[in-house]
Amino acid sequence: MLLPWEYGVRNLARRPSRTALTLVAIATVVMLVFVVVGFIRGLERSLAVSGDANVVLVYSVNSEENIENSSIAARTPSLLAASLDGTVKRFGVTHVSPELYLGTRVRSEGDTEGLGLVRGVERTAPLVRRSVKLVEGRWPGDGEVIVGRLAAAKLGSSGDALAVGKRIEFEGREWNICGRFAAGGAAYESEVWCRLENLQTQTKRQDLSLVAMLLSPGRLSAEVELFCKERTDLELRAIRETDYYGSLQQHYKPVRILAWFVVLLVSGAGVFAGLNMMYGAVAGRTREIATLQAIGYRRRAILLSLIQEGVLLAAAGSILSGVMALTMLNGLAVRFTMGAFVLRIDSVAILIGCGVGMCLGVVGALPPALKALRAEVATSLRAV
Amino acid sequence: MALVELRGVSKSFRKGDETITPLDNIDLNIEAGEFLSLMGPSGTGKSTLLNLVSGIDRPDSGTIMVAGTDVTQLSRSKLADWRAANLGYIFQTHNLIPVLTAYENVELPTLLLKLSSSQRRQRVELAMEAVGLSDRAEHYPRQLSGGQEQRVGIARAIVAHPKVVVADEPTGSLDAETSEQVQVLLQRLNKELNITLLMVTHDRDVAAIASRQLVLDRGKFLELAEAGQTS
Amino acid sequence: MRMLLCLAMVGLGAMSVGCESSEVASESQVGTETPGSQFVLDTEPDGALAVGEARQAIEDGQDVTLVGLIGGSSEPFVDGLAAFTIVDAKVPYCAADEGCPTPWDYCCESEAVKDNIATIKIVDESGSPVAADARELLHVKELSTVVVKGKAKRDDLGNLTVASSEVFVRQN
Ligand SMILES: Nc1ncnc2c1ncn2[C@@H]1O[C@H](COP(=O)(O)OP(=O)(O)O)[C@@H](O)[C@H]1O
Ligand SMILES: [Mg+2]
Repeated sequence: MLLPWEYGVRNLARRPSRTALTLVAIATVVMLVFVVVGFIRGLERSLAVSGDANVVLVYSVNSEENIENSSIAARTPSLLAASLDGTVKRFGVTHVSPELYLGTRVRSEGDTEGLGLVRGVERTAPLVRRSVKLVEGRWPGDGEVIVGRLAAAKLGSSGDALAVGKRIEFEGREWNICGRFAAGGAAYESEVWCRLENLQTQTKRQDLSLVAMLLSPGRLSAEVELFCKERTDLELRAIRETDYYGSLQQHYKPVRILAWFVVLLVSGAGVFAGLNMMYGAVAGRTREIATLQAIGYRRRAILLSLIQEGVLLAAAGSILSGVMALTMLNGLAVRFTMGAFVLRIDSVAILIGCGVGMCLGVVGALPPALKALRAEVATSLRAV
Repeated sequence: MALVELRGVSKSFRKGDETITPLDNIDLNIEAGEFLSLMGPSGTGKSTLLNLVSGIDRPDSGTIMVAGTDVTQLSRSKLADWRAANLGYIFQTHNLIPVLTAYENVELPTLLLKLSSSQRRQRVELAMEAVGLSDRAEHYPRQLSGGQEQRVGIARAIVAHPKVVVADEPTGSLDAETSEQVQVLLQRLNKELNITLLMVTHDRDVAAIASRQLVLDRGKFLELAEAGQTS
Repeated sequence: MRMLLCLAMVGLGAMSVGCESSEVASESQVGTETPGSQFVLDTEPDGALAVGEARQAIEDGQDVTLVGLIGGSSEPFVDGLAAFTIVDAKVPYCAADEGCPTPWDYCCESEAVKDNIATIKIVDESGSPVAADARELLHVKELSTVVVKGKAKRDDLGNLTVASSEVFVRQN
C-alpha cells in the first residue's frame, strides 16, 4: 500500500524556494548532459553520413590520415582513369574528382577571421560527392566560391557574412560568394569550395591533395588499392570513403570518452543538489515519518513515497531541460577541428539526459530517506 | 480471555552508563469495551507501555497478546500491517500530516484496508461526523484550532475500526475548554461505539472519565478505584 | 561551447601521445596449422632471388622466384584481394623494443624500401586476382617471410609485380 500521490507533490510545495532552487540545479545538470551527449551524437552522425561506400579516396602514402598534408601529382587522375575501368562513366565524363584541400585563414565581412576548410574542385566534384547539392545560387566561376551550410559556424562568422553576393578573402585574394550548398549533414558542409585552378594559382601549387573516384556498383575498392601498391613510384594509397570516416571515428574516440567522462562528472555534481534538497526535506519530517509508520504504513511504502518526491522533481527538471534542448540546442552548429557539425538531440540523447535526471532524483532521495527510516519509530515519535 | 493481555513484560533503556527500567515484570489485562486510564509521574514509562501495546517498540521479555495476536512475535512489516487493521493511536501533539487536508488525514489509515472507494468515503465521513468536523473536511491542519486538530487526530485513530485505541496524553497540550470537549468525545466513543481505550494522562480529572484507573509507579501498577468513586 | 572546444583539444592531445609500444607480430607460429589452400607450397622452391636483386635483373614477362618479408607500408595487405607488398630482407625494420607499433612499415628506411619492394598478387588459373584476404588464404601476417613463384611484370619506372599461384611461407 502506497501513500497517496498528493503527499509527494504537496511536500514539494512545502518549501517552494528550496524546491525551485533544486529544480534549477537539476535542470542545469541535465542541460549540460544534453549538450555533451548532443555533441557526441552530432559528431558521430556527421562522420557516419560523410562516407559514400562507392567512393574511393586516393591520396599520398606519406600523409598518414591527414588529407590536408597530402600532395600527389596533378596527372594522377588521368592515370587512374586510364588504368582502372571500375570508375563510373556517363555521357563521356569519368566520375573522378581531383581536389586540392587545405585549411587556411578566411576573412569574411565584418573583419571576422577564422580557420576555414577550402576545397578546390572541378565540375566532376558533385558527380562523385553525390550528397552535395546547391541550395542557392550557382556553381562557382572564376574567382567565385560556394559555401557549405555550416561554413559560417566553422569560421565563427555570422550567416549573413557568408550570404550569396558577399565577399570573403583567403589565400591572398577576394572571392565572390555565388552559391550555397548542403550535403545531408556530411563533413563538406563546413567547407568553402572554389575552382581547382583558381586555388592552385593562388597557392602557387601544381599538385593535388586527393582524387575521389566513384566506382561502378559491384567494383571493389581493392582494385584501386592494388593499383596503388603496384605503382610504388606514385606513393599513393587508396581507401574507401566509409573506411576513411570510420577511422576518423576511431581517431575521435578519446574525445568521445572524455565527453562521457564529463557527463559522469556533471551527473555526480548533480547528485549533491538532489541529496541536499532531500536531506533538507526529510530532516524536518522525522516525527511525521514515524507517525505514518505508527498508523500502519510499511517502511518500503514511505521510502517509495520519498523517492517519488525526488523523482517528481527530477522529472520536472528533465522535462524542462528536454524541451529547452529540443528547441534551442538541437541543430545548433558547433565548431570543431575537423569542421563544423550540428548538435543532435535525438532519442538517445533524450533518453540519456532524462535518465541521468531521474537517477539524480532517486540517488538524491535514497540516503536521506533510508536515514530517516532507520530511526526507531518510538524514538522518532518523541522528537520535537 | 481479555482483549489485551500483558504477561511478565519488562523494558529497560540504557542511558550512558545507567540502565533505567520503566517497566519491570508487569502484568495487565484490558477487557474489550473497557476505558482504562493510566496515570503516573513523568518519565515512569507510560508512553513506553503504549508503544509496546501498539507494537511500535518491543519488550525485553514477556508476552503481549492483543486480540489473540502476540505482537512481540511479529516482524516489523507484519506489525505495520497489524497496526493498520487493529490499532488506533492518538498522539499528544496530534501529528497530523501538514500537507494533507483534514479529510485526507482521516482517510490515510483506510488506504491500507481493502475497501471500495464508496465504503472508504463512508467510513471517513462517519469518523468526521463522530468528531463533529464534517464541515472542516477541506481544511488543512494549519487552518484548524488545536482542539479541532486533536479531534481530526481522534477521527484518524478510529476510522479503520481498530480493536484497541491508545491515546498518549490526548489533552496534554489543550486548554481547559478544548480538553473538556475531547474528554466528552472519548467518553462517547467508548460508550456509544464501544471502542476499547487505553489512555495515558497525568491529569486526575481527565483520568476520572475512564471506567478503570491505574497508576504506574517505579515499574509497577497501583489499581485505583473504579470510575466514579474518585473525584 | 568553449568548454567543448577545450575538451576537443585535450582529446586530440591525448591522441598524439597515444603511440605506445604494442606487441609486435611474432613470426613463429604462422602457417603451422592446416596449409590453407592450393596456393601454398609444402617445400621451398630453389633459387629464390631477393627483391632488390630481382628489381635489377628481371625483365617483364619473365618467370621468377622471389623472397621477401611482407611489409613496406603500414597496411601491406590489400583489403578484399589476395595481394600484398614484400620487402627485401636486407632492409632492416624497427625492432620490437624500439616501441614501434607497426614495424613492418619500415618508416625509418623509406628510401631503401623504394628500390627493394615488390607487389605480389595471388592469381587463379585464368590469371585474375583472387578475391580473398591473403592473411587467411596463406596464413601469413606482416613480416612473414614468403617465397613466391610466378610471372614478373615490370614497367619503365622500375615497379615489380609478381602474379603468383605458388607461395611458400618460411617458418622462422
Ligand atoms: N527510546 C528511548 N531510549 C532511551 N530512553 C528512553 C526511550 N524511551 C523512553 N526512555 C526513558 O524511559 C523512561 C520512560 O519514558 P516514557 O515512557 O516516555 O515516560 P512517560 O511517558 O511516563 O513520561 C524515561 O526515563 C525515558 O527517558
Ligand atoms: Mg509520555
